[in-house]
Amino acid sequence: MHDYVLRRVLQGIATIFVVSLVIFLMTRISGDPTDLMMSPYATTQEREVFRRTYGLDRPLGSQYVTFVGNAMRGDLGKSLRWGDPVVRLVWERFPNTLELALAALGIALVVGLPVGAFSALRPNGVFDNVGKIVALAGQSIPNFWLGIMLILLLAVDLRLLPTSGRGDGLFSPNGWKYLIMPALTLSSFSMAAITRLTRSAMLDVLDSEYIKMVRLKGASTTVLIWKHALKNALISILTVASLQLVILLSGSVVIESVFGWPGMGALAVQAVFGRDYAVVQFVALLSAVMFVTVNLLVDILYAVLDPRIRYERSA
Amino acid sequence: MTPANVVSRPRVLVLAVALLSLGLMSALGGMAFGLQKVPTGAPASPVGKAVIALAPQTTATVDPALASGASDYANLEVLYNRLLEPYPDRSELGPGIATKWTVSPDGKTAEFKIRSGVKFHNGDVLTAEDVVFTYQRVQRIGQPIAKAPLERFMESVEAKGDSVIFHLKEPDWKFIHEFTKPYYSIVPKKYVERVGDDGFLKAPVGTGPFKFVGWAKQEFLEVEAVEGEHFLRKPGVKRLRYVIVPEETTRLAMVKTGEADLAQVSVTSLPAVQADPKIKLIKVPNTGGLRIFLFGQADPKNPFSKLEVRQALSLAIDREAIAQRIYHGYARPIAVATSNPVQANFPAWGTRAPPYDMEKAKQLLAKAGYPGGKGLTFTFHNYEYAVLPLWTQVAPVIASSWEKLGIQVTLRQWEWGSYAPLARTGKFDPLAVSTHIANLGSPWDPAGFMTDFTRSGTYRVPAGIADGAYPQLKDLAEQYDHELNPARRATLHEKILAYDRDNVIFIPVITQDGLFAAGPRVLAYTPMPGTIFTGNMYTIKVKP
Repeated sequence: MHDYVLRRVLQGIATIFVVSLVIFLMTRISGDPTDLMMSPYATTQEREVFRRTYGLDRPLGSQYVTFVGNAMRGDLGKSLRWGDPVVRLVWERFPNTLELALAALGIALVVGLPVGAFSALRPNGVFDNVGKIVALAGQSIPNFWLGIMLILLLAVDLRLLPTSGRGDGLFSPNGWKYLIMPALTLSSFSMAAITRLTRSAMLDVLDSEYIKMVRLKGASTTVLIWKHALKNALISILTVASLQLVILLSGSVVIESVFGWPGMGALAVQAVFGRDYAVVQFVALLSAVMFVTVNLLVDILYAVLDPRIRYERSA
Repeated sequence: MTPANVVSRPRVLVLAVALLSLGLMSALGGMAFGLQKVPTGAPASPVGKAVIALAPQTTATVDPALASGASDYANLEVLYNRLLEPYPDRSELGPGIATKWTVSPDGKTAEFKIRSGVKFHNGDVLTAEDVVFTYQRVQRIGQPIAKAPLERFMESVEAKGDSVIFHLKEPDWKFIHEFTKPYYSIVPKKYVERVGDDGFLKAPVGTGPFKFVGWAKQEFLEVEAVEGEHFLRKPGVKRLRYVIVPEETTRLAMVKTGEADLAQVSVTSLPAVQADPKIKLIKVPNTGGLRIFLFGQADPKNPFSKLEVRQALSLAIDREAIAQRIYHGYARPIAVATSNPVQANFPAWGTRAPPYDMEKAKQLLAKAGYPGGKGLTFTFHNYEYAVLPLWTQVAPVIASSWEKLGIQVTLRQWEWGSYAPLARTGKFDPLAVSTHIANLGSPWDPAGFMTDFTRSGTYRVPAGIADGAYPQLKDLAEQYDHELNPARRATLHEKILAYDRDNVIFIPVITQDGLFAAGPRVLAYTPMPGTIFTGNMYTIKVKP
């Protein structure tokens, strides 16, 4: 078991290094920020001052070694645009993104679990078919479009919710109102994924022998679903849900822009357009680290729960 | 933004009727928006709170030293003042913190007399020492873009009584324009020294018409009008709040719901704006000019070295159609590549734009040795610019017109960040033209674009267009750059424009307008013309 965990941790670290290299090269290949940051009137000499200040005049390899060396010490660089350390810049916004992602995951679970479970009870019934259509729509409708439609309907036409922003925060009197539309929009894909996964996991469980026994014993549908079937289907669902949280954290870029949500996604968009290397690198690296970490934890958890996994993988 | 603006459905109907009535009354009463319009019914002293939804490009910091361009203008103009300030009604910078200024005959010393009695928002009296400290602070912590002009022009700066003396490296009147940019907004020395740079960023103090209330990076800025009369600007509202909303549709929705009073929009939002009688459009004149560069004019073998070819390409552009059909009337043909965007006070500016004349264009091509466009093939580089997105629609129209002359045109669309370094170095195809978008010209340096051109190598003016082809223009530009007398400089500017027009060094296309959507509470807003960035926000007036 220890060998397996150690091997997975080393693989995770190697993955993060590769990702850091890819991110570093991709941001450089996309262009030089000097022209975007300097005045149009800037002379060659003035541009050279800028490039020297931010180390852009050095060879790529040297820049990467410096980047990794500094990153090991927790220094991920300073934003070209704001001059702040990127860790502080992103960290200021991370709680807002986390708040949005958790709310979206909550909606996805609250809706996805029961809809998936009830759909599985009567496959191809009316409820199941409606559920399938809604799930398909949730996975195929672009969320920026859905967001704008919600704004026009719920904010402009019905005046039920504010259009954008975060208000004075979640715990202010009306703060929750600002969260509803972005969270709902962000949850659409995950909601559909969890609905479909719950349905298929439930179908597997409902077909098992012990469920047939529970049925024969005359248990009610409620007991059958909530006490016996869903409980056993939850392991794979919660695994996917934990990965969905990471997807939601790193995938809120568009939603944050549509709803003016002050999270790290909106920051990343601005950084990409402004060639703000340090910010882009850190946000991308943070997403990669979150993915690798959650994947690692899930794998370890699986190995703990099911010894066959660690033996199969070490074989 | 406030929850109070979220109303129940029955109230919406009542509100809608009331707003519609107000709209009708306003229309009947001739309430006008836009430049040079005098607001009617506006309160005498600042009242109410205005919320303005802005694109993220518009505000980034509240500390001038950390500003990195005109994109910080909206924040800085309300909180601070500079030595000299822009005035919408004049083409030269006017008094700000300095009441008057003189430049020594040799052009190497400039003295600015500091206005007496100006107080910072914390009560400290502004002195010449604060001004010197401001410039030295930029040298210490400023962004490279802010440090660069100081390195280029300034030898040293000192306080002498109630004056500030700049010792310059070389005589060049443009230092005035450079040294009065928003990065050099004056900050209080004692306060900054007490709270430190980080403390100042959290609670900035200036001398502007509004004092700081709260700010969150790329989220909002809230300011409050100073009590009593401000020495320079008259705040239109008691409170002003900027909210940063990246998506244009959302910004417009905020105006529709009343969460915002004013929002930056583009021509693409016109149908949605026009469908709502409560919303009005405010035009910001001349936010960007489109011109076309023709590379390699100095090379006699290059077709672009021939005046007839350049004239033909210019005459084949239907500028009026572009202005009407793509910009829906929020653009106008231009006659010259650069000019003063605020005032039409130069003869060349008033000259009619080249007409759309395909027949004459064909004749000129034939005269140049390219009958039916035969043998003329080039690449047309165009780029996308997020702030002014319609450019990408204009280039295909122009390319299509040139193809009608028989020319083979390859259109290449670029993302701005990739285009800029190419343009700066001129590393395009051997035979190439390129669109160029920028302010038509600075109001205080209207010929700057053309004089930059003679030096080339900035991305405003790429290398390789016509280096060495127009020695007369270079002489004029040299004179213009070193002419300290504004009147004589204006004359030189006219000559430069006329020279460009007659030689078609650049092909002028259109000047376009910026747009704001204004909600029913807005009584007046006088936008700042001539720039793609937002300004004059202090002029907004709303119903209480």
